[in-house]
Amino acid sequence: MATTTTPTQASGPTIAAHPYQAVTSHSIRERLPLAILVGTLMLGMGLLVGGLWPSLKGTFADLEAQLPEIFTALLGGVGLGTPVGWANAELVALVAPIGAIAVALIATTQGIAGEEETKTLGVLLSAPISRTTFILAKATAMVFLVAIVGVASYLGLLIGSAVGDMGLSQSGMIGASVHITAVGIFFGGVAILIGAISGKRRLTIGAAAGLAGLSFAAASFLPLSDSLANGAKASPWYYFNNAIPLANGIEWTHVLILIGGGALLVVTTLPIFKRRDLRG
Amino acid sequence: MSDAAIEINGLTKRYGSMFAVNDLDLRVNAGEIFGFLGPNGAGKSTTIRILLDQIRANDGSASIFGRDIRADSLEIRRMVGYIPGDLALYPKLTGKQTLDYFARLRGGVEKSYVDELAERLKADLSRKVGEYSTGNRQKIGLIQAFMHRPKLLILDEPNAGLDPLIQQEFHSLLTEAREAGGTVFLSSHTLSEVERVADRVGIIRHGRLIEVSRVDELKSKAIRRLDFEFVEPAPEGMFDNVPGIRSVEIDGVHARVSFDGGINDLLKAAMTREVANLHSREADLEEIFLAFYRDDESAPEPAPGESRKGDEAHVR
Repeated sequence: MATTTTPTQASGPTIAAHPYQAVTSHSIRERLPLAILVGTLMLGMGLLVGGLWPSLKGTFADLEAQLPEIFTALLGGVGLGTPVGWANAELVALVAPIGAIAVALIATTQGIAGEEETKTLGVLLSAPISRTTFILAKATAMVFLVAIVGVASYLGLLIGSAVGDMGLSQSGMIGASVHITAVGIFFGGVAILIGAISGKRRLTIGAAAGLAGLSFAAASFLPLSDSLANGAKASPWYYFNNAIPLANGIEWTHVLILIGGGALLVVTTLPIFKRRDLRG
Repeated sequence: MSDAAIEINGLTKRYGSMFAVNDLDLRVNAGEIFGFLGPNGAGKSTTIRILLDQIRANDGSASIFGRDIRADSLEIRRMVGYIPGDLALYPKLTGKQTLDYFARLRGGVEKSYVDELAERLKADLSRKVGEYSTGNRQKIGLIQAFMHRPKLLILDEPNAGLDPLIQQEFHSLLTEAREAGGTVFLSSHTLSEVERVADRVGIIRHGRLIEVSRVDELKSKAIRRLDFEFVEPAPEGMFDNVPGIRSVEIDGVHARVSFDGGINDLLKAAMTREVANLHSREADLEEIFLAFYRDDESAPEPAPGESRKGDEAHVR
């Protein structure tokens, strides 16, 4: 049997309290494999986009002339026959934001509603950490994980541009990467709000993913009608790709709307989560 | 500073029309081990979770070491070590990683003390929590509750899955905590867990505290039993008018009598016949506890606005 020390005040060196950092780093570690997987997918897609471009550019040039305008509109107004249009259609317009949103939704849903459903939240919040700190730490972890996908998307475009001699601009690749990160953060904010209010994983991921899908549909289809075109501006997806960041670089107003919207959702979450009875 | 570790006044928690905790008053003195007893669904865990500010009471107030459980929750949680009744940990982390995580959340944790606790509870910290048995997972929960040497330990069904030797060690930790000036609030639905270590016990039923007393006082209120053997068959009804009689079984020359209160009237009634032999048994605490449970089951239908056991099935 070990020697016994009575539970009085600690006499030796002690571990200092860093609750915000502890929850943030724990949450990042938990979902880092997912972010790395999605990031690797972005690198692979970039390689594929670049690798296929030399063989397909001629075909696309012929095809573009035959496609109706509506198709080009769905690709964000950039034709497939240009390097930007090809990379935008294959990676930036859909695959990368879906990856970023998936990472954001899974990280925040598992990190907030998941902790409540699995009841780890009970023992975690018995430590001296406020609910506000808990939510902010989870939001920070989400931003970090989404940024990994954003950076991987940039690297994927960089590799693709080099492999396929596509000549994509640095400002465009950085712009696309920043917009991908921003849309991920916005929908991460949506999932934080729903997860913190409901404490239910299925509801959170279903509702947040559903909103992202609706948002994509609204931003893609409403501009096809002159009378409905302005309605697209109500969709967060509009601010992700309407300005074609891969062609034009960062559209700061749009990025601020997405990141600011995400931050507003997190701020809205705080008083609601603070008041709620927790289940786990 | 108040000398009460926990002070609860009129605490009430409702879910719709159902009362999980109903006008609960309780005082736990600093430096004592207090057993908080009740059947599953009586409101024990709800009370604890209100104290930790995880759920909010509809009415009433509570303080820990004189601090309000809502306004001063963070300060309170620095002083508290807690293990929940349905402990859940992170399955992908090892025991050591789990404790490192909680140490960084809390601060003030001495690594050598964590190692000592792990050795005393024979906890293997190298494996992933997801691979642990219930008992081994519980050991990690206990270490995280004790490791910052809290002034107040709030332990909800802490013995789950622990083998008898580890239970013994756990009881030593509790008594050491008390000797060092700490307070223990020990919630359980089994009395044997509490009987060995508690100074006082409170019994909660339907969200209401129905009994608070020292363990020895509780025993003095026990329903005791006398087994008489008479020389000749005993007549039915010979103990009918004796005060304090709870039950009588007469079978020929044998009579088995359960009673509480004084013994003189019972003996007087028995001595009207020639007694050949007499056995006395003192009920242990478990019997007293079960008597409260039986009373619970035979409780009348609650009035509107009152709680009832069946309604509380989901309340932990």
